[in-house]
Amino acid sequence: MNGMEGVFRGFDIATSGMRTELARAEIVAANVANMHVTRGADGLPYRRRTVVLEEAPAGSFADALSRADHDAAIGGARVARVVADTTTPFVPRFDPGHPHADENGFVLMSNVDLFRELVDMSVIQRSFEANVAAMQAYRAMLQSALQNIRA
Amino acid sequence: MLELGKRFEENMRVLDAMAMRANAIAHNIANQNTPGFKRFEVVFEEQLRAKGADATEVTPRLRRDMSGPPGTNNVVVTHELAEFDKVRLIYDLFSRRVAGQLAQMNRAIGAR
Repeated sequence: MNGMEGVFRGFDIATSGMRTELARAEIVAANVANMHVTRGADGLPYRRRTVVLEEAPAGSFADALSRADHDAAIGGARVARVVADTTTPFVPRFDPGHPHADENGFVLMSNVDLFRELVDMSVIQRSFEANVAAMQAYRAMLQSALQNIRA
Repeated sequence: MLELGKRFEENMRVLDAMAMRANAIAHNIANQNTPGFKRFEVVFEEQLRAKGADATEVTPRLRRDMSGPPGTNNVVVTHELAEFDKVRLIYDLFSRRVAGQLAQMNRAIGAR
């Protein structure tokens, strides 16, 4: 046993968390940017998208084998997939002058709810900062150990 | 000298356990928004108590904390960060002890 085993892996793990939160932020930005798109490639309004995350196992397979005894399971988080929100309905809006209006004058708008996206974004920001805090704590821990050993 | 070597091993084992716990905490924080994720914890102190204070015979072990309703995420970020603070303090203490022992060994060999 040596006390430095896998010590730098904490940085990779915290980084994976920051990366996944950034991926979530990008999708929120895409949702907000497209919230007024009334007709996409499929002829329907823009559909709100969300990111589904999953746990990531540590490193490569060989890497995991060499640590099969204990912490091969922990490798942070990663994006599993991006899914379209098909449960929230499109919102009809009365706008007879719009080229995409139906015979009753209604236009189907995207199912993006701006307030929901804003709330999601602040959650993402907090989550990102938590990962940054973990990384800083990690760094401080190693740095004080280095200082102790040098002294 | 043998006794010193043993103490050294013990302290290194504690450092190992704390590094592993720091990794587990980072993993938990990274997965705070992963659906259905259950947090990891590192079991060490309770084994140490059971073994009667000989750290070289204890291997830190990862365990899933299955608390909370099934299928829900049970990470509480403030709790994880508080745990990290504890890990930092213990890591600091034991790295000091290791440093002291290294200095002692150095003196014994006559390097300093």
